[in-house]
Amino acid sequence: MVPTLVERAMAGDEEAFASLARGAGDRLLAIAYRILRDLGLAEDAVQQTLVLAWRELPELRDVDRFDAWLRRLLVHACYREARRGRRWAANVHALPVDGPVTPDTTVSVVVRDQLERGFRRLPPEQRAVFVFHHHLGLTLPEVADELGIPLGTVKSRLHYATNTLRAALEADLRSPIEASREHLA
Amino acid sequence: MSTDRLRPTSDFDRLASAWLTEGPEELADRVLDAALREVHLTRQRRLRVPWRFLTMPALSRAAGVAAVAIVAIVGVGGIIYLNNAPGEPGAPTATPTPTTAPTPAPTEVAPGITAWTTYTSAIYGTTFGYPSDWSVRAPAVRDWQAGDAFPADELPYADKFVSPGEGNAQIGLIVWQMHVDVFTGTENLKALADKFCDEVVRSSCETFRQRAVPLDFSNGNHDGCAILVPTADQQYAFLSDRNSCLIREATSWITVVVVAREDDSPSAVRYGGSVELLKSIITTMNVWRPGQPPGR
Repeated sequence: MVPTLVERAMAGDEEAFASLARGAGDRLLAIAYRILRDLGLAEDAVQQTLVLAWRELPELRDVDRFDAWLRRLLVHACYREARRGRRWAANVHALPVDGPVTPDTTVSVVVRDQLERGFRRLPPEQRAVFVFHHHLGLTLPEVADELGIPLGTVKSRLHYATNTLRAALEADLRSPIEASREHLA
Repeated sequence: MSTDRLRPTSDFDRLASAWLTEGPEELADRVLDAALREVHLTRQRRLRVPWRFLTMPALSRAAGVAAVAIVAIVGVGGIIYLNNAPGEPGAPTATPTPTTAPTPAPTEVAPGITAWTTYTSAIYGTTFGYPSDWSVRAPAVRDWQAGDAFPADELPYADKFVSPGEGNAQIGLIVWQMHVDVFTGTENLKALADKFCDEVVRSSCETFRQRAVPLDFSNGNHDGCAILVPTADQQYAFLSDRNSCLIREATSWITVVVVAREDDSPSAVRYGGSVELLKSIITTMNVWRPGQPPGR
């Protein structure tokens, strides 16, 4: 039987691992960026993940779960990057100030900004669950399996993340007059 | 994995999914190249070395003893005092920098420890001292994850140290951190410790719960809460970065320190017992500072 790339890499074949890394790198970056919201941190997380994956690969029990295993390593690398306390990049989205602005365009830009702000308030663990569920499209049991956490924990983290983001959106949708009235009440 | 991907079922879900499609999708070549250069210099982990301490009869699962031994300082009146009882001078001052070995005050150093080596965990960022005639058994290579077992043959989530000697003469030191979110539904450190026993150690938890006592850091160089669980064969300690024993949302980290040896073991006599040894080690820890998470 011809050994797979994963099996060859497990046996110490660096070229095989390089092929795996090239194949997975883009997907890992996409996930890391959506969790960390900072390209520099995301790139660091991906780099750490690939090196750790090489080192730990002989310990992988099921070669068919290589991708899921790699994503789990990535998530923990993202947690470490988030804990290092580096300053987040501004990633400012400029609001349109000139030219024709349709209501739909204005809302979408503002909503993006509010989601970004709300998302940055989330701890990385909640972000990871949110990204795995809404971006990767995994069901909650699949998220639990991929991240190696209980289903209840997944539900809890998603619940808190969703509430935080909804609150960020709803705060923006309230009119200034309504917001002022609530403030003065 | 199911091939039926989740389909957004609400406006919020659609909005969230659409928003998350934005962002970089391509890894820069320089990042991949840097990773592969580092891979070329990195040795794969191949050798499975059993954690010897966990196969020792005194630490075996069959004996119902978890190999996690956490530094605990037994006090009076059900309160465990770290460093000094209230009003006593000479509290050690652990330095926040990793370059200087924190030196406990003479009254805090277990006998038999003449010098300390400073260690900083590459995974958790915690800094602490261990006796300089000990050695690093194996560093942690990843975070603790839900589902991790203790004791186990491999403890990849823990920094591990070993005293001189062989077999039952050796004492092990095991240190790691857990995020409190792993133990959902726990409102305080005591409840978390109970749940740890139920879900991770899975033995002798009635005894575990009965012996748990709070540890007072009020006169030490740490702000935080700790629960000490001295047992016949080992002592457990769960250390929080919070000023109270209440578990707050999401951001709390718990430090677990284990001395794998019975308190009255002959090998621990020169330290005044495993409990005294653990006390000395924990006084070197700067795992928390007021208002900061562990290791910062």
